Amino acid sequence: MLGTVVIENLSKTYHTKQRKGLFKSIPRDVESLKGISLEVEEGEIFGLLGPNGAGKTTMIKILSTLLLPSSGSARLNGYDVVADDNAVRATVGCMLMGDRGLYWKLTGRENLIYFGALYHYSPADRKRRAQEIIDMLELGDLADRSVETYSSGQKMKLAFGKSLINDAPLLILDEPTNTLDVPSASELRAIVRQKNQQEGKTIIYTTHIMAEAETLCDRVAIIDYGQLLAIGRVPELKASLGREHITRIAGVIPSKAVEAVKALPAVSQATLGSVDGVAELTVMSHNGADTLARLIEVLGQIGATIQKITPQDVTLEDVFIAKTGRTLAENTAVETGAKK
Amino acid sequence: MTAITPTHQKPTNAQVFSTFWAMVRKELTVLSRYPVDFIASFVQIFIIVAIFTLAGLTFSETGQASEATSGVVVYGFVMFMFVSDTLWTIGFNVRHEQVQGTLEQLYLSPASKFASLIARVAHLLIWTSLLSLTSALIMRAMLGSLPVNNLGLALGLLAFILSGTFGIGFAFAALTLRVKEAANSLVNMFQFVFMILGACFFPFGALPEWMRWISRLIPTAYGVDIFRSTLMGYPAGFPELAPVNVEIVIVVVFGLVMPVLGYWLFRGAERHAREKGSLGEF
Repeated sequence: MLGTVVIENLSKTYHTKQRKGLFKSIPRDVESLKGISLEVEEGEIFGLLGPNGAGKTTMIKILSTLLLPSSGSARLNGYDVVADDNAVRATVGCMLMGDRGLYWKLTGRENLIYFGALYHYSPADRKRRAQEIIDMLELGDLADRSVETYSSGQKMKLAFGKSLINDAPLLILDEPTNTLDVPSASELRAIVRQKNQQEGKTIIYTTHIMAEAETLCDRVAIIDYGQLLAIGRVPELKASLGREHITRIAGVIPSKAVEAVKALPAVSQATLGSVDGVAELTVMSHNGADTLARLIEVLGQIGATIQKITPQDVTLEDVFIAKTGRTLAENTAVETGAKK
Repeated sequence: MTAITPTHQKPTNAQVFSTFWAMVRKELTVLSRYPVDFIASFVQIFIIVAIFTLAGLTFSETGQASEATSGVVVYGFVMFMFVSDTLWTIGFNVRHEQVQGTLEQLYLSPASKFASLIARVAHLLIWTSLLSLTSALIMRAMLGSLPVNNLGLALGLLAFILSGTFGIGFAFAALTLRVKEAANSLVNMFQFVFMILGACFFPFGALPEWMRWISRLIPTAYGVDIFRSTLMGYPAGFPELAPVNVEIVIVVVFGLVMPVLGYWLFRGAERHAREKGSLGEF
C-alpha cells in the first residue's frame, strides 16, 4: 500500500463568477478535472505533463489534500485524500509552490526544524533530520543564513529539502527544477533519482520540460482540458507514434502555415512554435520523405521563408503534440459552459 | 542517513504540545528578526500610556487622580491591549501566512490547525502580560494610586474574557480566509467601535445612553466592565452595565461558548477554502 496512488474517476468543478461590469457577475462552472482514473505503482517516478491550465495543479492539490474533489476518489499510501486527510499528509512529502512556503526571516535550518515539528517529531529528531537534509543537499554554511538572503535556486533547493523532512515513501514534486540553473537542476534530478533507486520512494513529478520527463520518469501521463489523454512508459508512448515522421522547419513562417500544411493528406499534426526567436513548424506525417516536397511547395505558396529543415526522431514532446495538438508552451483555457 | 518512519497515528498530547511550542517559538524568532518594529511597538505602548495618564491628570484638581479614575484608565487600557491582541492577531497572522505561502505548507502537514491558531497569539500574550504589568506600574507611579482588589477573581475573569475573544479571533480568521484583504478594512472599523463602545479608556457613564445600550449587546464590553470593577473592589456605580453576578455569568458563558462557535466557523471557512482551492490565494 505504501508508495501507491490510486485515482478513480476524479473530477473537480470550480464554481466561479464571471464579472460583468462594476456590480454584475454571472455564475460560472469551470470543469478542471473530468473523471480521471490512473494508478501509480510503488517505487516508480511518475511524470504528470500538461500545459498551464490543463488541470495538472488541480490534480496535485487534490492529491496533497489542499483541495477537495467534486467527485471520485484518490488514495495515497492506502489513505483516502478526503476521509483520511491527516494520514495522507503524514505519509506524503510535497513540494508545491516553489520557493513560496518558506519563512524568509528564519534560517534554512530553522525552517527545516520547524517543519519537522509539524510532523510531530521530537525536538532531537527534528534537529537530526534537518542536519541530514542539510548534508544531503550540501547546503553547508547557507543553512544558518536567513532565507531572505538566498538566491531563487537556493530557495528552491531548501523547499525541496522541506519536502523530504518527513522521509515519506511518496513524494509529490511540482516543477522542482523551476528557476534552478542547469547544474543545480541536474543535481536535484540526481537526488530525486537516488531517492527513488536507493530508498524506493515513489515520486509524482510534474514538469513542463519534456527532456526532463523523458530522462527521469518511468511512466508519464499527459493531461489536457482536464482529461487524461495518454499514459504509459516513455518508450511505449514514443512507439505509439512509430510510423510517424517528424520534420521541423525553421524560418519566417506565417501562422496560416499550420492550416495549409494540415490540409495535406499525409500530415497528421502540425504546430507552430518558436526556438530562440525563430519560428519553427513541427510536422508529423505518415510518409516523411514523400511529403517533404509537398511541404516545401505549400510553404512557398503562402510566402514562408525556409531556413532549415530537420527530420527528427520522435520525442516525448512530439507525443505531447500528437495527443494535444499543441506545444507545451501553449496555455489551456478550460471552460465548459456557463451556468444559466 | 537515518530514516524516521512517517507516522499516521494520532499524535499524543505531549506531541501536540511540543508542536504548539515549536509554533510559538517560530513566531517569537520571526518577531526577534524585526528589532526596529520590536522597539517601536514597545516605545509606542509607553507613549499611549503617558497620553492617557496625563490626560487623566489634567482633569484632576489636586494633580492626583482618584482611585476610581486610575482604575478605570489603567485596567481599561490593560484590557484593551489583551483583547486587541486576541481579537485581530489570529486573523492578521492567517492572512500574512496566506500571502507568504506558508499557510498551504501548514495544511500539507498533519499538525493541529487549532494549535496553530492559538500559537499565532500565544507569544503576544506573554509579551502583552509583561507590557501590561510595566504599564500598570508606570501609570500607578504617575497617577499616585491604583486599587488592587480581588486579584484572583479578576485573573479568573480575564481568562474567560480571553477565551471568548479567542473565539472572536477564530471567527475573524474565518472571515479572513473568506474575504482576504477586505478583512483589514473591517478590523480598522471594528477596532474603533470596540475602543469606544467597550469604554476602554473612560467609564461607560461617559457614553450617551443610546451608546450604552449598544455596549450592552457586546460581550467584551462586559469583560472590560467586570474586570476593572473587580480590581477596583466594586466601588459605588461599578460595574456600570449590569449587576456583578449578571456580568460574571455573561463573561463565563462568553468564554465557554465563543471559542467553540468561533472554531466551528473557522472549520467551515477552511472547508470552503479547500473546496475553492483558495488556501494559497493572495
